[in-house]
Amino acid sequence: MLSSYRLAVPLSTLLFALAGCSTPLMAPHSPTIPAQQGQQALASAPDCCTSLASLPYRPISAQETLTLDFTPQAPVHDFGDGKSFFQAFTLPRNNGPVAISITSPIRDGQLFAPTLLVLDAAFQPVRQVPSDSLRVRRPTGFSSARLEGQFSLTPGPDAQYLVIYSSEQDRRATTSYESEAKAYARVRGLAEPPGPDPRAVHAATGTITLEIASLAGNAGLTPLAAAAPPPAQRPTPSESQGVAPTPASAATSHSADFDYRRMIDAALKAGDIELALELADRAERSGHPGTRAWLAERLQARTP
Amino acid sequence: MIASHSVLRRPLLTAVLGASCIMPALAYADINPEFFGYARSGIGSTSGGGSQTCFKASGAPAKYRLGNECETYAEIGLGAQLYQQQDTSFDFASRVAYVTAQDNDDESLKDDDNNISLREMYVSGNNVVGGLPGASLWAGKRFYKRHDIHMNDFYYWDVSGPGVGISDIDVGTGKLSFAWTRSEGDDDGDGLFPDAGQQISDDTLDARWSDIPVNPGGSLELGVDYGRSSLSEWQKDYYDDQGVDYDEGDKGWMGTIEHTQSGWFGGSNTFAVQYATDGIITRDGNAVGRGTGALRQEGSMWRALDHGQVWLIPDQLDMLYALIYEDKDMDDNTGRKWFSAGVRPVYYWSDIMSTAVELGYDHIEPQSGVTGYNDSDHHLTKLTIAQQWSAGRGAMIRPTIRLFATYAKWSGDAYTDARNANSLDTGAGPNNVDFDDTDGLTFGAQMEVWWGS
Repeated sequence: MLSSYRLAVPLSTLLFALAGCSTPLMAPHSPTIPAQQGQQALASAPDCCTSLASLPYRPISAQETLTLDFTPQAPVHDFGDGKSFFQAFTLPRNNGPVAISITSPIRDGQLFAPTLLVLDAAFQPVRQVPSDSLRVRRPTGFSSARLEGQFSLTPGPDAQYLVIYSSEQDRRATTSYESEAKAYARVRGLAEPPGPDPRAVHAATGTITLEIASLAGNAGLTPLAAAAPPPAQRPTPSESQGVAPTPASAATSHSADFDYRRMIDAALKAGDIELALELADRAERSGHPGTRAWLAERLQARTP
Repeated sequence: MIASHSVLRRPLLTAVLGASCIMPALAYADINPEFFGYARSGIGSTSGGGSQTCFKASGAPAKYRLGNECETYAEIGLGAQLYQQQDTSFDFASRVAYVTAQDNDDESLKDDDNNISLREMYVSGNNVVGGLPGASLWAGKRFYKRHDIHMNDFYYWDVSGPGVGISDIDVGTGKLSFAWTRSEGDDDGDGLFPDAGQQISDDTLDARWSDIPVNPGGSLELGVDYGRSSLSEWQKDYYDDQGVDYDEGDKGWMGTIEHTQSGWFGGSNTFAVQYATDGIITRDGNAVGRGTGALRQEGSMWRALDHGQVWLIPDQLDMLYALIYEDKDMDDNTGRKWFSAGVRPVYYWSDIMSTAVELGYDHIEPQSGVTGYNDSDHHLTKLTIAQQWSAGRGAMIRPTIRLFATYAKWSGDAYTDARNANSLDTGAGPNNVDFDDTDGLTFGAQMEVWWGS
């Protein structure tokens, strides 16, 4: 056959090239820890810390994307709602408001359902975002099914630390999600695979992505999605062991040198009306009457 | 009216007013466009010279597709939820498809091998019919619950087209769907049709009972399609004059029984049996359940198929597979038997990189009256190796970029002396193997993607 030797050159070239490619160059994939195994590791791990003040906080900057691994090597603490692996951060001060985004992908039918806890400078919880306020996102063809949430805050004495963990209540729930096969059927107009959607187990371990982005000085860089979870939920004493809820007025004491109007401007530039309103509310509370009216004027002036 | 209009045009102000009044919901509706679609494109060559040949057995309705697709094909979809109140919603969707032959940079969609076509344009209303909670009423043209085998791009149940229907009526045990769709054409199967400007109306009625739970993780779908050519008075007169007996051949029906098993070695398995008659099958076309326009092609067809995806080693090695047997028995002996089998194991080196191998086999056994391609038994085997970079692990994860080499071997000459189809189909792309070759090799690169919000 004439063709046989003609085939040899391109075929061998390609196979050679493919063989070269087949050496895994990328970092080895960390396998998913089965939910039960993760739960056992959590149960047998000792509590690292006696109080919220003694957690191992590490600093993050105002512009960073972190992949957080909640593995049996991560520290463990009981936040009053069950023991959990956690990661703790010191938020960047003097940078103005930041947007915080959390993405927790569903992998092998399980995920890490995070609760976000914001502490003030005195290690008192001031805000809690439980996992059930995160939204389930369908797989898009570019990323898998996942939990996602965004919120914004202004680091300072009122919001100094961020702790990410998974409460017992988080872990009891499951997340129903759209399978890749169903997503494919939907976008191609195919008959959808029969049966109910799969449910992801909430495991004690897992990997999430934390993205923090500065809102000040970077106008329009991070327009926040409208999917922001409901604002501040203050933990009750029963939820948070030995920690008294922070009175709303506590904010006042730290706000003397706080330029609310500059922050509101930054929020408006970033397109975050929700943050602007929140800031205006806080300004009103902390002795800056008229801020809300001022904001309304600004909005009216901006709007065509 | 004027006041509310001006408020609506000021979303920021509206938001402020809304927030300050502590209104639970703002009274204006956002349109959040949904962008969805599918695309594949690439470049390839045939060893020995010429652009990529795509290997498809003549007489077979499908070919194994990995490293064996010669065109750009894309579907761009746009849609939006236009109304939503409690459980009731109205959704709009549209889709335009493009095909080009991969010739050069500037390919006119009007050229022979290229095309642009309007595939979807419909509105569905969910929970709009009282007494039928969960059901969806729709009208317009659409892809309607299409059933396919991904690895050889074979559609075995597809009555898509302009239509109307009510789908997914919850009947306690499973769901019922009814549709009326149309596929007009000017091909009566005999080449007698007088005026391409006038069409033969082919109507299909489709009824399905799906999601019937029969075993743990398994469900059954039963369907029946009735299709017929709806001839107008003048068309009947014309064909009467031509002596065409359209009494049987213009209509037909197809029955489908399908079982789908989830949790099947980490994937799923689908088994289907179909029977179709007369106007739904044609000697050359693929029977998918809709009327074909053929007026006197009588016969019957049996089809059994099994396909799915399994994980052989969790997270490391999965496999697509397909098995098809189809016996198309035409009264004038222009049918054929088709047997097809294929596997596509994929090994995942990492979250991104994988190696895929696809082995496919098609065997055609023509009936005695077949003309137009190799009229004796013939078969084609293709083997592809591809190195892939994808957005994750799994046979249905895209986007993917792949480098491939495909080797195919077949029985009989590829083409006739006049380069018409013999053992190889000539419609699958460029035909750049020699006419008396019995094997060929191609190589190239391709991307494949689908997406949707």
